[in-house]
Amino acid sequence: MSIDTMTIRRLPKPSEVEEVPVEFRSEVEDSGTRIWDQINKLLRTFLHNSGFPQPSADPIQQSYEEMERPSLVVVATGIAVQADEYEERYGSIDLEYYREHMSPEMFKAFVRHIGSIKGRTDLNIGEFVDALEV
Amino acid sequence: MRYVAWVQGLDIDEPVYLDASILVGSLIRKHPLYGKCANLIGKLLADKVEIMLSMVTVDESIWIMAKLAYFEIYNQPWDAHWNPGIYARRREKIFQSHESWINSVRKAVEDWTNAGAKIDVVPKTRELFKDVLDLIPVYMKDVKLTPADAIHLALAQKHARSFLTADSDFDEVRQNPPAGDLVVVKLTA
Repeated sequence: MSIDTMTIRRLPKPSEVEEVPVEFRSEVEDSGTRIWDQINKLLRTFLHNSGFPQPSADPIQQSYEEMERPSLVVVATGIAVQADEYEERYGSIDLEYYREHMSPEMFKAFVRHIGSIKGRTDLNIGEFVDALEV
Repeated sequence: MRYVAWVQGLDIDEPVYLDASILVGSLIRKHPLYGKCANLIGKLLADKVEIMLSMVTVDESIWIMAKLAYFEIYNQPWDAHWNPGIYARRREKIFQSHESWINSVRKAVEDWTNAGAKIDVVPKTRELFKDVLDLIPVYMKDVKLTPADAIHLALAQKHARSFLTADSDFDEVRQNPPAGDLVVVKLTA
């Protein structure tokens, strides 16, 4: 169901109740979406035939799919990260051990900061300090 | 003084002194030693170990973050040139886009402390400060350390039982251990 085809049908207002019931329902067909799909297809074909190559996948559709993908992982109350970031930051950390051995406040403070900066793989930690001695 | 390589499960006597390599290593997730540094910090926090930092640790940590930010912005390799002059010229840009990195160490220490971590700053007293000053030239000469590293080692010797580092400049302690009860715990890849 697309947003532009969703309607709110007002039900008759009961005379002696305080709450007003509102029912959400979709129309039988997403006719609006279908029309826009056809227009989009026509435009893409026209542009392609005019010498402007078009991407094979619709970028708007792709971004919708990415938004809908459930990729957030909750690490602690109020702290959620993307799945790939979760793997990088906490993949080598025994979170269950720390959850058991830390207070909830400490666990939250711990996971909030460790690995919070992406950085780069060519860092040499032993040479960190050398950077100062210029 | 003793030198040991850190392994998971190693008993570490407290108080512990941290240099910048461990602190910063636990915040940068792409770093080769990130997992070890983060687990070590986690163990210290879980066990409520008394942790000592110094302004040298803080200074080095912030400097590393500034360097990292500059290299990120200008897509430089880690071994590229970096000095205070470059920092002065690029400071505005660094703060514009990466101020959170500069603040990351302060925020981590602040949050951990507020959550109950026992983190203290050394030197603690004027007497200890004097003792540290006396040791610095000794470590520079005998252990062949730079002034900053000699300050770390002297602060650790006077305030802690373990000194946690990933900096290979302290490997000299293994070859030529100075007097004292301190254990230098080295993290390696």
